[in-house]
Amino acid sequence: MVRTAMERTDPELVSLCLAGHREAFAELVDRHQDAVFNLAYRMTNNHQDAADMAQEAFIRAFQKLYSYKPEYPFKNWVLGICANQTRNRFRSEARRRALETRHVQESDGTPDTPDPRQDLLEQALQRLPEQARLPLVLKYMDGFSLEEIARTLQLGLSAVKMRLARGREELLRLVRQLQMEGEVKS
Amino acid sequence: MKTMEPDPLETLRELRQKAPAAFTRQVMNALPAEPDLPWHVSLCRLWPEHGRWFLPAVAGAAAMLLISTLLISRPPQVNSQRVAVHFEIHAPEAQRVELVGTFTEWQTGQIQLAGPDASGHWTAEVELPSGRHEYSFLVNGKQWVTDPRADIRRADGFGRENAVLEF
Repeated sequence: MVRTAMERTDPELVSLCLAGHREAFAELVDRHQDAVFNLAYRMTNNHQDAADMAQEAFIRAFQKLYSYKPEYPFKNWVLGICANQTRNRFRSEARRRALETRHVQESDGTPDTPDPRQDLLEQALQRLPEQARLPLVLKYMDGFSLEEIARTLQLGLSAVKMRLARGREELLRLVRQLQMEGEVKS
Repeated sequence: MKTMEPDPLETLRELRQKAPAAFTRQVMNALPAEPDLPWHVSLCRLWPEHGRWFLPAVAGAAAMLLISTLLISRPPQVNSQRVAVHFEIHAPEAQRVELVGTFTEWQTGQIQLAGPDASGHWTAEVELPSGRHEYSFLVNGKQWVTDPRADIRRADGFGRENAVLEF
């Protein structure tokens, strides 16, 4: 019986790549592209920069494939590469574009998401400092444990706990503040 | 009757962004021909297949043995010294003051300061292991106050500062 690529585990696909079957990497990209793109988007607040950043993360992962340890989830590994190795290169350009995007959105006055509560949450998330935003994204969007967040972001467990606690507090405060601003405007 | 609002944090997952169409094809087009070889694989490729490998192998094994012996004979020193630290803050109007920091894993409700005394000071004696600690006071369960007597402070990235203690 022939097994399809969908049935192979991530470490098996990595082994295939290392054995010269470059096309096996496409399946790894397919499986984890949304998680990596989402994290990149949360770092840049901009779709084009996020696509560039996520692509760079996968290229770096392919280049470093020999250093991948199969006992560690491939998704966590590539998210760690995205979070820690491509940030500086994209940051300044991303900030500039994010400001431009926000300016356009503000002048246009139309929210990105149709649900007003989700739109408030999206705005609050974008205003959150990055060091609190990324742990929240990994915990609540990717379901990571504290240990996995610490390893992915190369932080101590204590720092992750602090950033999550203060990030939660700050996000809820921002949502309330945005709600109040909306009520005043209307 | 008031309806229960869902916790915003629990709905964060709904804001997940999806990668653009054809993303995989773009990545595959940009990939290099093959992964970078790590140094030990490159080194193995230099190894003579039919040459005289015995002497270098023995020399390598001897060097490894020497390094392992040196490492085993010098176990890492563990500094488990604990030091009693006096914390104090002037807050005459406060109802309660807590000490929160890396040593409580930033969990509240663990170390309460006693006070206020006649001069309005709240105090606590806490035994801490030697090393670096960050902390802050939490007044009345809602106001974070940086220790005004701290020599070292560090921005926490949320517009506040943590006091830093190192000994």
